[in-house]
Order: sequence, then C-alpha cells, then structure tokens
Amino acid sequence: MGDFRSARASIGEAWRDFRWLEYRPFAWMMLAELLFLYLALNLGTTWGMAGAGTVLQGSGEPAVHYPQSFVFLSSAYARVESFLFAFAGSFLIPLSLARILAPMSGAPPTGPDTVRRARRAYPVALVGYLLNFALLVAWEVLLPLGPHRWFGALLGGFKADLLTWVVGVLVAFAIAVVFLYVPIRAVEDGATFGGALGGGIAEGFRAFVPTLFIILAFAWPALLFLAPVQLAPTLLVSRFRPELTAVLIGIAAVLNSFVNYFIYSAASRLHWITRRREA
Amino acid sequence: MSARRSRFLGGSSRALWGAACLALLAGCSRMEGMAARYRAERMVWDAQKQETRLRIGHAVPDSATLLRIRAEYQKLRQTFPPPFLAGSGKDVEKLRGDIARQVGMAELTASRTALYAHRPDLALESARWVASIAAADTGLGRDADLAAVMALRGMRRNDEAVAAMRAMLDRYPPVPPPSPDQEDQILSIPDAIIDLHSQAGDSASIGSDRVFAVAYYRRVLSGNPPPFLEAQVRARLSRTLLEMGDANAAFEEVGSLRRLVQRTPALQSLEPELLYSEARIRAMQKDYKNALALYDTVVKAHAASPFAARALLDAAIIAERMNDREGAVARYRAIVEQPKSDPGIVSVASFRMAMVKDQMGKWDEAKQILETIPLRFPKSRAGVEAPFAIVDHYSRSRQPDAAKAALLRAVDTYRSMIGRDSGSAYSPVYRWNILRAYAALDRWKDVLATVDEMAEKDRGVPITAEALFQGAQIARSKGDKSKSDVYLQRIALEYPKSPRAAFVRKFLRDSAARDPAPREK
Repeated sequence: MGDFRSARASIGEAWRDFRWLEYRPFAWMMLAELLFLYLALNLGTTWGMAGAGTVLQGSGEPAVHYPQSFVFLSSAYARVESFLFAFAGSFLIPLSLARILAPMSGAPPTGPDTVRRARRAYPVALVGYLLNFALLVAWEVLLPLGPHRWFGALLGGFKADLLTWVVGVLVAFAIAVVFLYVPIRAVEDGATFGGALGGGIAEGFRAFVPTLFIILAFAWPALLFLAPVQLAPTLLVSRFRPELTAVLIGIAAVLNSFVNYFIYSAASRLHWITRRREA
Repeated sequence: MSARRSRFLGGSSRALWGAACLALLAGCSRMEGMAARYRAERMVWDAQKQETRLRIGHAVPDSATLLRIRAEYQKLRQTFPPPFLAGSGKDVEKLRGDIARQVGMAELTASRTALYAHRPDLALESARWVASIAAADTGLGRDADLAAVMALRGMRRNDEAVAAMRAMLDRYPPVPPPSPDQEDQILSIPDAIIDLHSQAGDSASIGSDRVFAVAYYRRVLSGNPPPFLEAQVRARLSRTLLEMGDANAAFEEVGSLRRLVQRTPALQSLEPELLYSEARIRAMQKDYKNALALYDTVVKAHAASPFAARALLDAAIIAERMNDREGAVARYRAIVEQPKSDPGIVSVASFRMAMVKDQMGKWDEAKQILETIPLRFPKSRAGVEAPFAIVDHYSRSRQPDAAKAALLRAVDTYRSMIGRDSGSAYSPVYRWNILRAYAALDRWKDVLATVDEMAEKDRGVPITAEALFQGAQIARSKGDKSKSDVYLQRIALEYPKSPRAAFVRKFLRDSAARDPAPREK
C-alpha cells in the first residue's frame, strides 16, 4: 500500500517537475523516429526510398509498394525504435536519468559528471535493453501460437484480436518493468555492471506492481493512437488514406517520447524514495 | 620503389573510388526506379479513389463523368513517358517493366472507361498505345490487344476486330491452366469471333468462323498440350463440331475426351459436359429416346453444373419435336424458374415456351411472356425476335389492326432498347427491325430515315448493306432516283464484301443508259 502511495507521489512529482533539459535526450530519439516517418511518407522520392525504403524492405518486397508500405510501417517503425533505444537510448536514457537524479543527490544537472555517468551506464543499459528486447521477441512469437488461438476459439473475430492486443501490451509492459531500473541503477555513484544489471532486475521484481501502475498511468494516451495502427492496419489503409497510418504513428511517437520520459522520471523518484526508506 | 608503390596505391584507390561511385550510381538508379514505381502505384490508387468518389450517386454514370474518370487514369501516361526509367542493368530493367505495367494497366482502365462513355475511338487509341509499350510483357500485350478488339467492336469495325482476334490466336499460345476450372481467355476467342458475327447478323461468316475455330483447336491439340489444356480444347472442339452438325467428328472428339478423363482423375468435373455432348450427338442422329435419357441424367446427377440448364433446354426442344408439348413446357418452366440460370439459356427457353403455349392455344400466356422478354433480356436474340413474334401471331390469325398496333409497339420497344444502351452490339439489329416494322406499316419516309440512321450509326455492319439496298429499292420506287443511287454507291464503296455488292456495281455501271429500279432476289 505504501509503495502505491509512493508511486502516486512519484507520478505527480514527475508530471509537475517536467524539465526540458531532462527531457531533451528523449527528444533526440523522437526526432530520429519522426525523420524515419517523414521518409516513409516520401517513398516516392529517391531520398525517401533510400532512407525508409531500405528499412521497410526488411519486411519483404511488398513493403516498398503503395499502399502496402503503410501496412508494414508499424512493424518497420518498431524496428527503428528498437534500434534507436538499444544503441542511442543506452546513452541518452542514462543521460536523462543522470539529469533527473542530479538534484536528488545534490549534483549539478549538466556538466562532465552527468555525461560520464551516462557513458559509464552505456554497456549495462545496452545489455538490459537487449535482454528486454529478446524477451519481447519471444513473447511476440508465442502470442499468436497461444493466446491468439485461445481467444480466437473463445470469442472469434475482432474481439479476439482486441483481447490478444491488450494481453500482448500488458505482458510487454510487464517485461519492461523488470528491466526499467537497470539504467536508473547504472547512473548511480559507484555502480558496477553486475550490480546495476542484477540489482536493477531484482528491484524491477520487487517494485513490480507500483512500477506497472506508473507505466499504465502514463502510457494509455499513446496506446489510443497505436491501437488502430496495430489492430487493423489493412482496414486503415484500404478504407481511409493510407498516410493516416503514418500520422497516427507520428502522434504516438511524440506522445511516447514524453511518456518514456515521465515513466523514467517517476520510476527514478520511486527508486530514490525506496532508497531513502531503506537508508 | 616507393614512387612505384605510391603510384600503385594511387591507382588502386582510384579504382576503388570508381567502383564505389559506380555502385552508388547503380544504387541511385535502383532507388530512383523504386521511387518512380511507388509514385505510379500511388497515382493508380488516387485514380481509383477518385473513380469511387465520382461514381457515388450514379448507378450508371453519364459519359461526362466517365470521361473524367478516364482522365484520372490517364494521368499516369502523361506523368510517366516511355522509357519510364533511365539506366540499364537487370534491376533497372525489372523496375522499368513494373512501371510500364502500372502505366499500361491504368491506360487500359482508361480505355475501358472510354468505351463505356461511348468513345471507342479514344479506347482504341489507348489500347494501341499500351500495345506499343508492352514490349516483352506478354500479359500486358494480351490485355492491350483485347482492349483494342473491344474498341474496334465498339466502332463497328468488325472485320478489323476479327482480324485482331485471329492475330492474337497466332501471337499468344494458350497457357496450360493450374486446375481444370481455370481457362486461358485466349481459348474463348474463336467463340467470340462466332458471337461477333452472330450478333451483327452476319450469318454468312459464321460457317467459316467455325471452320477456323476447328482448325485452331486441332492446331493446339497437335502440340500435345498437358491434360487440363487438352481437355479444355477437346471440349471446345467437340462443341464447335456439334454446332457445325458434324456428328461423326464430334463423336470421335467426345470419345477422346472421355478416355482422357478416365486417365486423369482430376478431370472428373468434365463428366456433365461429356454426358451432355453424348446426348447432343444422339439427338443429331435422331436417337431421341436415348438423347432424352442422357439429358435427364445430366439434369438429375449434375444439377449444379451449368450443363444442367443446357440439357433441359435441348431436352425440351426434343420434346417439342416429339409433340410432347406439356413435357416441353415443363422443362422450359424448370429453366426459367431456376434462380441462377444463364440469361442466354433462359431467354431462349422463355421464347420457345411462349411459342409452344401459342401452339397450345394459350395466347394470353404466350403474349405475356413475349412482352417481358425484351425487358428482361435486351441483349439476346430472343429479345430481338419477341416483338415480331407477337406481330406474326396477329398476322397469322388475320387480325390486321392488332398486327399494326403490335408493329407500333415493336418500334417503341426497339427504340427503348437502343435508348438503354446505344453502344450495344444488338443496336444495328434493333434498327433493322424498326426498318422492317415501318416497311410493314408502309411508312416509307420513316423507313428511309431509319436507313439513313443505320448508314450513319451502324457503318460497317453487314446488315446495314441490306438496309441500304432495301432503302435504294424503296427510294427508286417512290421516284427518288438520286437518293437510291447514293444508297447503292455506299454499298459499292463501303460494303465491297456484301453479297449485294456485285449486283450493285453492275447495276450502277448500267444505270447511265437505263433507269429501272434495282431488283434482285
């Protein structure tokens, strides 16, 4: 109960104490994602095709044709997002976290120390993200084989698809909770690779429920925009303008960028409160 | 040593740079091609959306709307001029082919739309342009040739349409189908030629068309095609032989087909057609009892087959010949009452049922049926003949006033059928029947006006030559020699293959000296 109260307090504080400086690393990733979407909207140009077309072609030849490219856009975007989170986010997220945690430890939010912390956190944040990603891929493989079949047999049609999507998202969030504290611990003073990874995962399990609550509290607006793109991409493309898919993903990307910042900000605060209580 | 080494290194680095630049250029033209293909696909999608938008609220869009739809599809041709993509290499060639296909298919849609807008001239131009860009794309070339045939038919240039169809048979060998229920469209061309002449009322050409079809099918069979294709060709060959009345040759083909079906289990679906063909052969040999038994087997054992309705129709005709009028009517009724029957068969069954009912003394019922046929089946021989069948009844029963009224009603019916689809292949026949009706009513001015209309709108159709000849006779008998000569000169110039042409030319040569009305049986 106490953890829930702390989680609620962390959410409120993260919301009120939004700092552009802390958010900026997330904005860089968002800009890269928006650039990809802009290129995907311009596949009719050589530069658009050379940029987004190369990524989309990973989904097969139909993905570089109109309007099918928009059916495949959601999965291509997910690949770009994963790549950015793994290789750029492993530095940028710890940098943001170092800036968020700096006032709590009395250190300045900018300066070489913050960058040093973020750099030091890079390997463990990368490994943590890759483990998270591997589990997500495994879950995505299992989802159609298990839950989707059961729901299909029970409910059938759109209801089964919707329920599968909801379960899929909840489990993906649950996996994210487990690894959420790895970069937070990695930017702390005296953090080691093993300590940050093992301790972060352990903390994820310990604070599982309040952290999941934080994620759900922030993530739902972005999900509203992602749901139609992921649930009925063909319907969007065939019944409406195919470009609507890119617009919805773009809105979700912008929202997600802030959502991720707020989640990490709230989780950092929860982590700090827990540490203070333990101390 | 070091100078040579540095020269070598300098040379190899230049080579590497050169190779990198070439790879980049090749990559660029590939990306440029993919982007161009994407733009073409987007334009097709936009055109389709525009078409949907323009069609909303129009059950049958007018010509102006259709031409706007055509313009949407033509944007691709205007945006992507041949050769569509610069550069060379396997990838670029493939992309060039892809773009050509997109542009070509859009232009063919424009051609089809122009045809619906009663602009076959525009349709023909589009089709010929697509044929010019098809290059090695046989599929696109075939579609372009088919579109050209449709346009030529729309322009009543039937001889050219037939020549184009025959050229297609030489150019595109039939593709073996993956399953027996799929058939290459090219195999239906010989029958399409026969249909074209039949619809245009050119019965003189139908015989030679059938001979041509038989020769074509035999040529395909001589190439030892795979079983599915062989079965389809043999089935068409036996049908054509039956139409020609060659029972022995048809029997031989049906026998070969049966042996093929026995050897190939996947061809069991041909059993209804085999039974039907065997029944037709029996009927041609006047073995009506066995023919009826076989037709009944088709109807009972293969009720879902399209041959069931044909078997019912043929069985009803045999029943008529055997004076079993009740049996005939029952079979015709069974066809008419089937929910998803072939309109071609239902129209014939309706017409014949009316004729039998007339013979049975049930004229009211017969008349009711005859009056509905043109409305239900305007594009059918039965639809064309039904109004005159009513006239014939009143003429036979010596009711001149009723016959006159029926003739006037017939004119109205044909005019409304033309109004419904002025581009129909049956339009010349409707006008010819209007001419016949006016002639029977002694309305000579209307007859000549109809001849003028046919000369203008149905130019090239054989029946128009006959209309011009009738017009020439009437004009001369009414003292209008100059009009008569104009009609005759048109026959000589525009219809040199008409059976009347030789007589007309001779008559025109002699007419300077004499001045009689042209007479020929």
